[in-house]
Amino acid sequence: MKKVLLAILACMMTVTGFTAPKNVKFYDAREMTIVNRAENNGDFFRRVDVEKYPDLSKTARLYLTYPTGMAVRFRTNSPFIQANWVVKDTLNSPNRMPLSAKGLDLYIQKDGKWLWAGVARPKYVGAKNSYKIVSGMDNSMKECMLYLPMFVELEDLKIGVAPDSEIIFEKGIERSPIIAVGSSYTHGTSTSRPAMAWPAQLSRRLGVNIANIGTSGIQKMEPFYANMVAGFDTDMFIFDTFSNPTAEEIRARFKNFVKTIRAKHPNTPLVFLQTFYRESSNFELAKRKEEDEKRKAADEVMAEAMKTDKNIYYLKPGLYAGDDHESTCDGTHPSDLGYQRAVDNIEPQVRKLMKKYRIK
Amino acid sequence: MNKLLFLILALTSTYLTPLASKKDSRYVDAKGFTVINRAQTSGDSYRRLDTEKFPALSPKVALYLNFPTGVALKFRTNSEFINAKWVTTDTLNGWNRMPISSRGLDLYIKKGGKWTFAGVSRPNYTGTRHASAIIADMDTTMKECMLYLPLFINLKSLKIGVSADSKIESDGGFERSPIIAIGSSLTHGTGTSRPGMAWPAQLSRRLGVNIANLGTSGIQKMQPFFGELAAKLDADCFIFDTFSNPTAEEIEERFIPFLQSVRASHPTTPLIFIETLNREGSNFSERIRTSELKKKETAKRLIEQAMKSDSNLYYIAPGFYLGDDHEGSSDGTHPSDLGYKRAVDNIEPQIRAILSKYNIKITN
Repeated sequence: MKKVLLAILACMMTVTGFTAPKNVKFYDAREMTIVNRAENNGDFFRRVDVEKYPDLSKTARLYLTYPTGMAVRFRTNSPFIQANWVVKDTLNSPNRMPLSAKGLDLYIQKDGKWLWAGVARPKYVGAKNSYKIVSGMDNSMKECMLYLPMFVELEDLKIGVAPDSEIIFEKGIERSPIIAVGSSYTHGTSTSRPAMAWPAQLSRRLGVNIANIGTSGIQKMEPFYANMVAGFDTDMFIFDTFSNPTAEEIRARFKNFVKTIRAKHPNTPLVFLQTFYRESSNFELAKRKEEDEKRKAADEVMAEAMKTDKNIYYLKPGLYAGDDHESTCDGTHPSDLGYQRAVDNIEPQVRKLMKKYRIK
Repeated sequence: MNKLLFLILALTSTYLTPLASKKDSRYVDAKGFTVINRAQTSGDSYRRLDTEKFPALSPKVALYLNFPTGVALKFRTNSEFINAKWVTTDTLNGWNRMPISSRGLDLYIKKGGKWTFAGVSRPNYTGTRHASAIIADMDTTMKECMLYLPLFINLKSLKIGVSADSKIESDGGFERSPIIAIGSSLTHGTGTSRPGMAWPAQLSRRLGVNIANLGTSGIQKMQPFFGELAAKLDADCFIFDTFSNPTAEEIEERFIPFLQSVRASHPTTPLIFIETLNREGSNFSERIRTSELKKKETAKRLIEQAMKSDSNLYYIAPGFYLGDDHEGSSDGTHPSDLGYKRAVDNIEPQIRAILSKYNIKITN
């Protein structure tokens, strides 16, 4: 990777619409390192270069232009960090925290661990946002990782620091040794902030980049997903593909989905997760029946596939959120509580598989 | 208690908002349903406090205390579905508030003697008129329902939709709250994903006791009017989250007068003060870390001093403990459901022990 150090004398940004304070110096995040992305080319703020995949459905294409799961890396000794960012303000939903859907979430490394540092507050409605994420810090050089919004297109992002401080970054995309493909459960619908979806939590715990290819409500193992996923370069896939499709769709599509991916990834470990228990089925009989049937179909297709493919795994329970029935926001989507429990459950199993396949 | 049965012939709703569900539904006005987790047993059931009775309250405190925060309605139905149509004011949308939590409804149904999450109603992202299914496809046994009202908005009206041929009934009236929680946004429930997840509501379900929520986001600084308010309320136990909003100087200045004011009408009532949480915003901000530390030290010193001469005063420290992975917060100040759950895990056994000492009845 071409190493470019843009210290101190980088361009002053004159973004229209922002009243840039005189004592803040802004840097374009598109010039920085991007992590947790599925591909290493294309627009930095889109998780997938959607133009390459003309088969994608309209909604899948839209969702994949969001920067979901991705983070920007830089180092700075500035006592504060500010963000000015512009989003395409669409798709507000009652089960999405504005902070998670449209805000930014900062972690800073401390004693070798990523420690939560602050968030950037988005407007409830509106496209242009500006917020000081953290201030009052000491002036040691810090390793920063800023998660991007989950449910909106990001058009522009500038990182603001003190003019007399240093900010160091290099442009590039880090490879993701693990790619997570899934539904809203992977996308992160009812998280309280961008870094709380399971791929991001798991990524910090394991210390490995994980790309998030969750597309809310529409991951039904259609051929266009399989074709796209097959083209990704990675060492392990984790699939949450038993959440959105019906039992019939699981039975009809699973085999071809795996076959398409196997054509390009003959030995890559494919880890499938059992879906979350839906809390709406506590009392909804039809929902309970439907969910039971989906699980049964998933169990069957997995058992069949594992007979002939020793690099396929099924984590069951997978996305497990406890048994007190308190872990969802809306009966379907986990809150941070549900996500934390799910990660507690899958982390040791994924860790073991990574070791087996020598994934660093 | 005045027993009112709202049966079968309730008014058919003529709302304009379309609701994509059964045609054979009918809507019942929820005003008059049994009200729980309220600090008083009279007044407008959609306001957690009859604020007119307390003219000294600041305008913002009065505004917040007119919200139905923490309050729930109880009814029984054998309908296979439950819908809601409700009207709110349209203010105070927050970047750190889930719309379902601030303006939605949260339904629990009793199952095997336990309140079990059943479903939520989805509010509009903006606007004042909301219509949503809460749950569908249930069996038609008679069920005990508890519907939490929104946390951060005025509720003007609420109608519950059930199938036309089903029963819906409520005893009506107010159930007394043996415990009243007074506090900051941490009590109010900022950062929760739905109304039933603020700590007073979680604790209430776990213990099996009504707890009124008088959390007022950002403005609980032990002002004299809060002391006078607590003094006038009727409860067997007060739980205070009063060390979150004030500065160390305000705690120093106001704690003793606040306590004296409450004690004037509640001479021996157990008063439980909860240590505030560790703000995750202080992970890197020296400024926040220093000011939070000073607040905690001041609170601890003052309350330990007061406990020497008051045997019915308690301090739970750590109180709102969010764990040590620094992941329990939504925005650096307010817990997410993860943080609230951890806080309740921490305070529940201690509060249970105190309630038992005072023979305050809990059912779980």
